[in-house]
Amino acid sequence: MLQKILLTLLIIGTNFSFATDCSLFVSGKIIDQHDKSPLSYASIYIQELKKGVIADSIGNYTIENLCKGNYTLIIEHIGCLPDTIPIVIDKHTFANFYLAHHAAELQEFILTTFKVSDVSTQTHHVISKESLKRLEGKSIGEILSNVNGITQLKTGTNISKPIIHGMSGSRIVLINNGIKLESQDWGTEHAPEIDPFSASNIKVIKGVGSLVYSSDAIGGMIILETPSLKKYKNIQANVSLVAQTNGKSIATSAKIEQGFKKHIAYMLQGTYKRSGDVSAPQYVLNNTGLQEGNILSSIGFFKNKWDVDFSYSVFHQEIGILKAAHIGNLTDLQNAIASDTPINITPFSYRIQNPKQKIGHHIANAKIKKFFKNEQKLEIIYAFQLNNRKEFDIRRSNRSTIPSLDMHLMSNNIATSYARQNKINKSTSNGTSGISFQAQHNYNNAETGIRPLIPDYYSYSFGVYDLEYFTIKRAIIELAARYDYTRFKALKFDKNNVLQKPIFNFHTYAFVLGFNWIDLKEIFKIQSTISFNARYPNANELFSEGLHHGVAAIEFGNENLHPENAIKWMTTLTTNYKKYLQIETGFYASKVYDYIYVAPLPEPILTIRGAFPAFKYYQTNARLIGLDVQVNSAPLKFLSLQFKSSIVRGKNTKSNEYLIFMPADRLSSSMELHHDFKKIKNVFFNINVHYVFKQRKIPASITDLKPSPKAYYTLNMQTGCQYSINEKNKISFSVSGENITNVAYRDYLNRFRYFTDEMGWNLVFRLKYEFN
Amino acid sequence: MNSKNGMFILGCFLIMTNACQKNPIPINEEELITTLTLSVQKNGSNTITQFSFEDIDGVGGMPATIDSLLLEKNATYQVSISLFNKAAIPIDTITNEVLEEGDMHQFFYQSIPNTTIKNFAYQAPNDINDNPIGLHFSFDTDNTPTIGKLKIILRHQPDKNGLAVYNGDITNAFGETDIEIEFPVRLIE
Repeated sequence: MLQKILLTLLIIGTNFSFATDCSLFVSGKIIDQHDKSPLSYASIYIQELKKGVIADSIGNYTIENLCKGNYTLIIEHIGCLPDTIPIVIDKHTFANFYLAHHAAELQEFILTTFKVSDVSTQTHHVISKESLKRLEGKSIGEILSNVNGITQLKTGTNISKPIIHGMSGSRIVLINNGIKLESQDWGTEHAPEIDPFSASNIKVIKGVGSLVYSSDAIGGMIILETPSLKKYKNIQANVSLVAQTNGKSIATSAKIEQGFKKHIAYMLQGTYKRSGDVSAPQYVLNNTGLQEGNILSSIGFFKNKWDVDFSYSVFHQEIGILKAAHIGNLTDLQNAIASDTPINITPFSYRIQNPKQKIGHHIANAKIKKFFKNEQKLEIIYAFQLNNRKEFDIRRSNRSTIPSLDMHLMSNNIATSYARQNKINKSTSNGTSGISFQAQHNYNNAETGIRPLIPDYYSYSFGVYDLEYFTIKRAIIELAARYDYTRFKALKFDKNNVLQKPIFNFHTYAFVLGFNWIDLKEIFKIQSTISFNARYPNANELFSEGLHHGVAAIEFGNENLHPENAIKWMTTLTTNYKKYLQIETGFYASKVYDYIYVAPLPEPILTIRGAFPAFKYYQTNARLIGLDVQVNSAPLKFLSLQFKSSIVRGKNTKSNEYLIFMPADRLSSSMELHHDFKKIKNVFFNINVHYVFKQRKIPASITDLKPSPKAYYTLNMQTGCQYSINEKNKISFSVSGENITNVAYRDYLNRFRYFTDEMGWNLVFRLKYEFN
Repeated sequence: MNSKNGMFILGCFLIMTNACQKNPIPINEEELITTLTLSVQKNGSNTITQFSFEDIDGVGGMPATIDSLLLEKNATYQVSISLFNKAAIPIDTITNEVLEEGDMHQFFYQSIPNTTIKNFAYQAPNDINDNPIGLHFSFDTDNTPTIGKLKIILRHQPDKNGLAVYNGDITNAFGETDIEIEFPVRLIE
């Protein structure tokens, strides 16, 4: 992912119009230096203003709303170190930039860079707008699993959580539109409440991430960028339609954005999704339907050096839970496992019956930015989030309409940050400091008539951080630190229904030291980071108490847990050979002290439903080591090849055993043919083989309900094109076939692998209309 | 959550004070089955003896208590099952819920080993489709004094039309297990 911007810079200044104070623009084309063809979707970023744009498919870009001054542009096309080009803006400016375009065929995961504080020296991948287009209609977990080193922790077909370098759940932090997603991330069956249609790109940081947002990302950080409001742009709109044969599903999403001259811009986006029962190769998976509706709206006001914007989003989802996974006790579970196919298969239906989940997530936020001279910026963000989770079970006496679990998690966040830049000779330093407060309340609806798994609680946190980036010639050094204090007060009833109010105080620290260097010829790039951070135990690890139906196990929290501390070292080397071959090798090792995990209790617990195995949260020390390798090659202009592989090994260093539920080793190879015709662009045909090995590195002392499944492969193809009706209107279409050979397989990290095979073959049709 | 409650919490949130914190309401677990009682009567006798499985505090907490059945050898017994939720106030009889939704419930009985108790037979009342529910049943005891176990299973939403389910064979009953307990049994002279 290495690309050099040659400083062949052509600036044609014209006295286009009288410039009012801050209404200047710079626009032009990004052009391939070799064949003079336009480069699509390069990113152009103004370092001082911390804002940027993406060029369109024919290389045109415009950055508006600029004040007179000296700026530094960072231009990237398929990833490289942020490189700087100084530019003087004193009138409307046209500037064409010529790039050495040797790796442009390496299309997947184009690296783009928006904020210096997000870039960091840590290894990260960006799923670009173009890549997202090819994955429309998929869940966030499925989309992320396209990044090397990221896998999925699934519960059936609809619930998918990302695993980064072997870690998932609350060890991964999700940032949506600049706000940390505060959801009830308390189990494997809780998927992130995110609509991928709302994202303009998704960035995955395989490390602590940006300490601006939080310090507890032991596994990694996922940042969803929503498109920034188009200040002076006229109407921009798009409509997407995705139909899938497996599950007979339909998803549609529409977005409209508009900027007015009077310093106002708005955006409105909505998604609707409906799916029926999906099918494994040999049978229907009953009650796996899904219904989803999401809205995102925002409005912004811009005046002089002030930016103020408000947004509100709602995510609502109803998911059926596989009928075959619904069991009452261990005997049922053993029967379900013993049977190779689900018992009692009924025909396909769109109906979502109990057991099911209804999830709602609301985010309302306000952001105020003030820009000062000398590239200083002050930002205040306030966000309110409400997460409501209702779980419906099969109950007696007409109680099935009453949820068995109905929890509301309310979070209030206020954060303020101050960014600044200093230039000393040839080096630049960018710094961001800030403080943040959070108040959170978890509330159980008592009308469920069932003791809650997680008690009510109040938690208050305070965080303070400072991040510094030093750019010295071809190197970037990152230094960051953060301290957080959290006071957590639970309100729970003991077995005699006496209210207990345990209080916990957690102090956590995080430090990052990173280094990023690229040689003059851009043949060799190194990114190396060492970090220390901590995560305090969350509500389910402390308090959970009850029966988990899907796995027929009783789980107990542990109030004696304290924060887990992690040290991670990650180094990524990227080498480019003769412009046609690129190899990216990422190695990491992390040591987690007081790693929180569940371990079985020696005796099963006897209940009226029979005896259940019992588990409790404990702490140990863990070590995770892994390797992500990616090879990209573009031997011919119309051909690109890609090979990816990731390996992770987790060890409990106290008992000297493997950690349970670690991703199996995997390989993925793809070949893509592509060509641009005059009117029909981006014509591509992609074929991919994904191979997952059998997981043999499993702990000997824990008996899994079923041995880890066999190795499997899937064959996938996709073909598509984009038709430009004219400059403003374009239509893209694609068809993809997933698991074309209809292989029946099971994945080690799907909790429902005990009951059924994974989804069978599936055709996905995607149609998108864009208006600029 | 009603809107008044919501407003209260939201309003409080903005001030973030301790005084604002609301205590939760204890939950009345209506559905919990804490107790299963067998009322056992020997044919030709007027005495009814009761044996119970009881786990008042549900999952976890205090362990369950189980009575041992003391029965005579070579006899026929009539049994009726009662289910209670003693955690609820007032004490709730779940037997009625099962009876009302008779077509959604069925009891199954097993003897371990299968010679200790035999000839299990469903007794009335049946459900609306005239299929057995099994709140009442009868059995015979073995000819010789011995020890064993009586297993009682309650399935929710079983397939009552499954092969031999009518006769008490659980193999094709499926559904979800609501109760699965074992009583120790001793047969005496």
